[in-house]
Amino acid sequence: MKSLLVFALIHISLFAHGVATGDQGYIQQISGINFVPFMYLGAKHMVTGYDHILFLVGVIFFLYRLRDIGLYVSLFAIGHSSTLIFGVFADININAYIIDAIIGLSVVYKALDNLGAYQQWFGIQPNTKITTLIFGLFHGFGLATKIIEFDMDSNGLLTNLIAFNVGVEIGQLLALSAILILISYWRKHPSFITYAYSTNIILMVLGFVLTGHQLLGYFNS
Amino acid sequence: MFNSQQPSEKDLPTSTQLLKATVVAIAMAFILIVVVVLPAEYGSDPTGMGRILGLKEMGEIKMSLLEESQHKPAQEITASSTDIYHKEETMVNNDVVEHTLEPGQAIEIKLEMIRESLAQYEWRTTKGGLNYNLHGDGYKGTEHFVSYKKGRMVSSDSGELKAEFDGYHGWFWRNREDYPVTVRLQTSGDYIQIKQIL
Repeated sequence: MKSLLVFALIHISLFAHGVATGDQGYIQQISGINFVPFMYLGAKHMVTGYDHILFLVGVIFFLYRLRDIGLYVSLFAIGHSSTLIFGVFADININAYIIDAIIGLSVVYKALDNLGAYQQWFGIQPNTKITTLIFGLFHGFGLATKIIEFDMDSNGLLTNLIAFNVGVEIGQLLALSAILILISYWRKHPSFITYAYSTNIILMVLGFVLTGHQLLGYFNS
Repeated sequence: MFNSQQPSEKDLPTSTQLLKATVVAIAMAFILIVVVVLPAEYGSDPTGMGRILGLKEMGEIKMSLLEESQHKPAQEITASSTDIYHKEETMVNNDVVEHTLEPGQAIEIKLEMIRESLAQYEWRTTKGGLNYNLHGDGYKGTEHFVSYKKGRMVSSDSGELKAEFDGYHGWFWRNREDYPVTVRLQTSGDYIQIKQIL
C-alpha cells in the first residue's frame, strides 16, 4: 500500500545521479550492521503504514481483555515476522501491488468477521486465531517486498533484518497503544455498540479502497 | 449480530486510568519525537542520544541527499558543466582522472557517449571504499536514465561500459569513510569527452 507513496517519492526526488533520497537513500548509503537505525525504520514503517494499522483496528475492535489483545497481536506478529525474514532471504519477489491488494482484503475480511457475516452467510465462524496468523503471513510478505525494494546491503543483512523486525514489533505496540486508548474512551460510551456496525462497514470500505488502489497501480505499472 | 459480545463494565478501564494512559502516551510521543524522530529524519539532535544511537547519522545523510537532489537537476546535463579535459571528436581517448573526496563528499564524472559505443575503465582508491553508481543520463530533455552497476564500500572496479543511449555515462562516487579517500579513474575507448558533472 505504501508502494505508491514510495513510488511517488522516487519519481520526485530520485535520480539526479541515480541516488534515492529519504529512507531508501539512507539505506543505500550505508553498509554493515546498523541495529538501532534499522529498528527505527521498522517502527516507522509500522506506525506510518495504515494498512497494518487498519487490520489491527479490525482485530482488536471487539477484544476487551488485555490478555486476548496480547494473544492476537502476538499471533499476527509471529505471522509477519516469519514471512518477513523468509521472504527477504529466499528473495521471494511477489509483486508489491498484488501483496498490498491482499493486505487490503485482509482488512475487508476482518471487518466482515466482526460483523458476523460468515456466521450469517455460511453458518460457520472461521477460527479467528488461525486467520489472524494467516493474514500475518501475508502482511509479512508485504514487509519483505518493501525491504527488497530498499536494496539493503548484504553485509550484516540478517542482523539488520532482525533489527527491522524488532522495530516493526515496537512500532506495532506503539500504534496499538494509541488505538487502544482512543477506542477505550469510545467503548465507555453507549455509542460504541450503536456505531460498531457502521464503523466496521467503514473499515470494510477502506479495505476495499486499499485493494482497488493497489490493483489500479498493478494494471498501470 | 456481531461476532462478539458487548463489553462488560469490568473489562473496561476507568476514566482515571484512561486519562493517565493518555497523559503517558503524549509524554512518550514527545520524548520519542525529540530523542528519535528529530535526529533520524532531520539530523538535529537536542539530547545527544541520536548520535549514540546512530540515528543522527541517518538524518544527516537524508538531509544531504535531499539537498543534493534539489540542487542537481538544473545543472546536470547543460553545457555549463565543467569540462575536465575537452576532447576533439576523435573517437579514441585515454584519460586519467584523480580526485580526493572528503568524508561525506560526492563526485560525478561522466563520459559523453553515442549509443552503443564502448569504453574501457578501471578505477581504484588508494585506501578505503566508496559507494558508487555507474549510470547514464540522456541529453537534457530526454528522460533516459540507466543504472549499470552499483556498490557500497568498494575500493576498485574495472570493465567495459557500453552506452545504452546518447548522453553522459559514468560514475557517481561518495565517500562514507570517516577519512579522505582518493580515487583514480582510467578510461579509454570510444567517447566524445570526459566531464566532471558534480
